[in-house]
Amino acid sequence: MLRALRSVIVRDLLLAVRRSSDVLTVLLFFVIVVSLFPLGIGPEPALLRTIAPGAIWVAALLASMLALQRVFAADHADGTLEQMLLGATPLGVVVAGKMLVHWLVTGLPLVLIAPVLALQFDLPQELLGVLTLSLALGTPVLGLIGAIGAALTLGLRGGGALLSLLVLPLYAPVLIMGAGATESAAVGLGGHAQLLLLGAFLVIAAAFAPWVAALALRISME
Amino acid sequence: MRWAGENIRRLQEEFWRQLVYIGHANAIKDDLSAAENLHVACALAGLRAGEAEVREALIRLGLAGRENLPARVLSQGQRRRAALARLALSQSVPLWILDEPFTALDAEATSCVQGLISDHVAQGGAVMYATHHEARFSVRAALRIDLEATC
Amino acid sequence: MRVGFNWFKYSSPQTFFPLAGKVALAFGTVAVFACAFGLYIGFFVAPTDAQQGEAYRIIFIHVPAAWMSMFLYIVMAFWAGLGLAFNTRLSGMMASAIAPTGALFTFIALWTGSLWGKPTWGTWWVWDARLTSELILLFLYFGFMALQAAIDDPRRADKAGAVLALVGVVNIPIIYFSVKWWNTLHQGASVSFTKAPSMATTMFAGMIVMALGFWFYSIATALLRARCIMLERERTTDWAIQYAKGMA
Repeated sequence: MLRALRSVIVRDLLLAVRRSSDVLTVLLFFVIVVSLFPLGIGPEPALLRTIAPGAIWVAALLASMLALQRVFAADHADGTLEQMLLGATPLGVVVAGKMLVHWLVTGLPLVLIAPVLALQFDLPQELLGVLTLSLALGTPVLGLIGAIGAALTLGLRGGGALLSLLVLPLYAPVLIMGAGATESAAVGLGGHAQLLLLGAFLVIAAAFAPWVAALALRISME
Repeated sequence: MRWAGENIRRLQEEFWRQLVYIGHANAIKDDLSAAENLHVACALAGLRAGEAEVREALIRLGLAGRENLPARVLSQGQRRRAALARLALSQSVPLWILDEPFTALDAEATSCVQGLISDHVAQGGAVMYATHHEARFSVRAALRIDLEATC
Repeated sequence: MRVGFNWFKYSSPQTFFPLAGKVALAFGTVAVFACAFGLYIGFFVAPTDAQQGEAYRIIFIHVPAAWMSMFLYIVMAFWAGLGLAFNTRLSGMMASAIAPTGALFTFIALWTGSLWGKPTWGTWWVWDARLTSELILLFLYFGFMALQAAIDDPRRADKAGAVLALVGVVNIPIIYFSVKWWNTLHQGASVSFTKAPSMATTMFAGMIVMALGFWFYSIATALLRARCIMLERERTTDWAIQYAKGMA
């Protein structure tokens, strides 16, 4: 089973590397959306400093949703998903592998570039650590929950908008905790509580989401 | 539906471990080479297949020299053969279910696949396939269902 | 040997259909009376509130609607889960039938909350913990209905909806507590209206009667809607054709 997991991870990584434009598009989208906030709200530094965590988090949310479309769609189209359903490896394991690569390829870049964007908002340096950590914990959760949505909406018309409608309400707690961590650190309360909760979300999501997504895939492929 | 007396819905992975299904879609990723595709397919199916065996299977299906090209540049027939190469490594899997295995194959490839099927049956395996192509096999027991027969 | 009342007799659409009709009619009638009585208590019998004057009276619609919105989601998730686990057709139909009514009550709760907010807080909307989580609940309902609408195959629609509803139900406490935390941290709302302080018995009675009325209304509408879903899905079966002919 571990061999199969390793094989899935290597496979997805290879595919991501060979189609790197997909990865870059998500990253660019993230950067552009973050840049839209000052354009819409005005360049006043104090205001931007206040909204920075929230704006970056919302952009990360939207970028995650953009990437979700492709998690299962490609495999579904060429028949490889069907083979995964009929394989000797438990589908939950396969999905977990795909989720890991999905995060490495779409979530991790966001985490790495976020501090740079935060500097554009003049966020104080001591807060950058909390922000990055909150994203590092939160983006996998977004991916895991989103995978359930992607599995449920596999092959349906209405595609992206429907997926967003399903998944955004479930994202709300993650957003609140994620942005909240930096915001409380900013007022001197420290972001530990929110970060710990995010960690808890991650553990729960990592434990359950692959299996729920596998169930959803079977339902969609029947 | 039952396999060895047990309902397949309950067996799930146990049943699938004993099944090779090659459907209408090739299940080949365009961005991976034929060899890489075959490696992944075997890993997912729980089959142990080393570099040499994978290469050998592809050569047997007439893809010599093309194992490392991205599947995108292969022709329809070559892609089908890459998908069917899995059969060469699946002699130990009892049940084969194939949907239109001979589509897009030329005469040489067709006889190659027929050979694989005969070998498998000779070793005690079972093959179930749907096809438009007329194929002759000498087997112990065969059940043929003709969907276009007029009574 | 007599087995007593056979519940399973009603697990097929064919037998449940006429029962649903009768029950819906009964509950619907009671609902009309209960709501009328509840509104009477609310608007004429209950005393004027010391702090809020007459504006508080919307509580008689707002609170029972909010209770219903949450209760119905849980019931919906229950039926959907049952259908997923036991592969019963009727459970899935019930879940789909409940969803629009649940969404309606959520909307009523939000709207009446807003109407209440204007005279008491001076603003139409406040990102209070309850209103915000109620809003997210509305999105959860919409998501469920949208997903089912997008899937043509009824069996897949039932099961997919069930997974979504169950994930949602697990999330509701999380959403509520996150929002509450977020709200208290932000010290946003300048007033807290969390409970009407020491409620007079008549007020409480009024709310309970309205809640009962809403509950019976929900049962009646859900059953009627379930009947429509049954007719639509089973339209090729004999009993449905007979019924349609009988109606024509």
